Amino acid sequence: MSQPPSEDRQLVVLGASGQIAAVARRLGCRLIHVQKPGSPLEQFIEPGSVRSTYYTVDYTAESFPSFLEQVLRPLAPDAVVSVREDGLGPAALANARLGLAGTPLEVVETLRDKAKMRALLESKAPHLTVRASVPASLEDAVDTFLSWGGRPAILKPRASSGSRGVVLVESVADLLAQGDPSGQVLEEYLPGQEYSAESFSVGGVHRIVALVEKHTGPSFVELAHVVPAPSLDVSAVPVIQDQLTEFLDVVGLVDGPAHTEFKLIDGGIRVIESHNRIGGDGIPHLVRLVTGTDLQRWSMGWPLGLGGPGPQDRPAAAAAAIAFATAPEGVVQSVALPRLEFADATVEDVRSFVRPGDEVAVLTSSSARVGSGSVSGADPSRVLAAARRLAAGIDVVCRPTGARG
Amino acid sequence: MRKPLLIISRDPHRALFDSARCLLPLADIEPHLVTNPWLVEGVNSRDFRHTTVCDFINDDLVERTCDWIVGANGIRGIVALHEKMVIMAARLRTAHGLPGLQLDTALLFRDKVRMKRAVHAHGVTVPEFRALDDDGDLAAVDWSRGRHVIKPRCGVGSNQTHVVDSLPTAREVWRRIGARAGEYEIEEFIDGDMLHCDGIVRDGRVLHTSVGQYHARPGNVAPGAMAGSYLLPNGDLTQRIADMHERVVGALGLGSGVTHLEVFHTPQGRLVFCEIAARPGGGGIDRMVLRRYGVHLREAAIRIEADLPPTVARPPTSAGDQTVWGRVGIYPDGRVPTEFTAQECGELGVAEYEYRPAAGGNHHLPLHSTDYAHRFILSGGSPADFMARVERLRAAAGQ
Repeated sequence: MSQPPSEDRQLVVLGASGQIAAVARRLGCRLIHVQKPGSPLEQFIEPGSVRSTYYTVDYTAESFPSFLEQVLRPLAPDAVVSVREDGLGPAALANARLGLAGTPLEVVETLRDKAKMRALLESKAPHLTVRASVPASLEDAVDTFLSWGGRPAILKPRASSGSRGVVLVESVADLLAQGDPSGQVLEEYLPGQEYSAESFSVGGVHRIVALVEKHTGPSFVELAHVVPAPSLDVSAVPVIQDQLTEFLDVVGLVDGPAHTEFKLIDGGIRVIESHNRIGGDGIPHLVRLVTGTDLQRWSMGWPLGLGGPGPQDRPAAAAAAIAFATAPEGVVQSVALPRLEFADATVEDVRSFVRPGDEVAVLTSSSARVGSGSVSGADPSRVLAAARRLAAGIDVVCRPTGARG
Repeated sequence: MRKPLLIISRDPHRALFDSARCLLPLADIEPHLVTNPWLVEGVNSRDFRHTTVCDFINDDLVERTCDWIVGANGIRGIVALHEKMVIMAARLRTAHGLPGLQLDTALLFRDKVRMKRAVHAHGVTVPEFRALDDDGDLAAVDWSRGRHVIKPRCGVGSNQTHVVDSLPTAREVWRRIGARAGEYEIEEFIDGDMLHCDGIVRDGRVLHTSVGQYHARPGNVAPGAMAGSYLLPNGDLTQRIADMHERVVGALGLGSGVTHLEVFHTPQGRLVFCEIAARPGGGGIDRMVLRRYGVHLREAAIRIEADLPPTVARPPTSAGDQTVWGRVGIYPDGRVPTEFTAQECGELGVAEYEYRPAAGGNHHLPLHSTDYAHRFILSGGSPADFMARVERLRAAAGQ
């Protein structure tokens, strides 16, 4: 049976940002946006056109299945997608219920639940994982920690993202200070440089689009990314690609994007975590600059056969990097963006995430960052340095919370 | 906690505002707005955190969406001021046990045959009428009574209304319409003036009525034509019409709501019921009533549907004030309308002017009875003075 023209096909997008909505619009199909309450309407609607419609629904709530049946099913959409962490499960649920193509819920759950992923790898590809445990109690956690020789470990939520709740545990005292570990996973900490892989799978064939070097700060908050990874030896890349492919096969990902974080140990990868979505933090933009592949567009359109790489997609630079600005906890008083030029790098973007009056939280998750600067150029190390200078130049002045402005 | 309320809107978003003031009592209610992409301009996601913008081409899909919103969000009331949404809102209220206009009452207000049967049974004079289901109904009409009107039983804005003067003409119109049984009615054409009475009813008690006279009979939706009405000073005629309004409201069993009644006033002085709607009158009626009486009909309708007591927007004018407030609409004439300047409006004594360049759609031809390219609110010292001002407006508009 032939498919209707792309402009008549309907794509449901859960939890898009304004930028993702703009990307989706360029696919040329009809869009059904499903957003949580309070989203800025104007970014999603084209006034005077029904090409984009908009529903306010908390797609993570228990009422979402009834929304699927009562509202979405009669609209007969062709696919449901999300590039947000909290939208991946609901999108999979929607596709399953509505009989549409998409990543199966089981795969999404395996990737989202870090304990589940570790258990699967332990049984099917133990060389790709680290020791992990789901402690039933604090006592249990201490026993496990000691049984691993008391070496540094990571305690983190079974399902979260953006570095939220990730804690380095270096002693029993550290562990005890964390309190009840219910709902968390304890896993061995691996020292060394961390990377991420941006991949796209089509019919079980996994294409590793880019390898990205990640730099973190306190509480593992990501403070910079650079493509390609300057610290990766070219000779290591084939092994990395093979093992990433093996990993994606093991978790059962057949179609769509993945963002997989890993470290290199003894010439092989150890998976930190993975998600069936594109990376955040502006990584897709860096990847597009360096490879020409628009992962955002592809991630949105693939279930409809739209948005894949085309002959016109050419790299714009050999390297690209983004770095993030931070500020002390408090209330923002002023924001100033730098005007910098670099001899060996081109400024792509510099922006602040905050305005005077906003509150800046202590730096324990990505959401506490206050700005970013991204650059492109010929050399990865130089663009990383330039991006860091750019981010450092974002001047966000805060007064302590509670102090008079 | 604020009361969650479903707002089904088929008007531009600004219709929920009086200038910058939102007519929804946002301190008391949390709005869940359902609207369409043509009407969203001005919706801000701070006050309207729960908004659905969907295609209104399929009523069933809109109703399913509203039904889900009501069930999933613990909605405690439904506001729907547009005539086309009244039945849907009533059906949802009845299905979910919500207060306000229920389906059985709403159907009486919507279906002109059932409506006239009900009010006639309560002693109100109505035109000769019958349901028009087939050719036999046309043949059964007493054509010796003169002209008749063929119109949809559940029509809005004088759309698809046809005046016919003989059985052959009626048959030709009926054939052209090609309607199914249950969709149309035929009634005798009543000569005379047309008036409207706009009321506020709360718990079966009429709290307010204002009576206006159309200066052009509704239904003459012609390119470039003028339409509108002015409020009559209180007197015998307005009292008779207010009495009819009370009887009609009682006949139809309306508990609470805002009404728009239309009445014929024959040359012999008889009052003949035309129809009534359970929503505020359109085309600026709310604005002239606000000017004259300080009563905001749209706000009252919203508050009643939110199960809150209606309020008076500003102190009513004194009993001695004989100022006649009225409204004038000018339909698009096939060309892009030219906006009146502030100076022109000032010279013409216009208190409020609304310019609607998109009126008439792509062809700039009127689509319904309130599809005005220009709408004015103005006043005069007497009905005659008001009409003189209307004539000045007509001249200025090049009519």
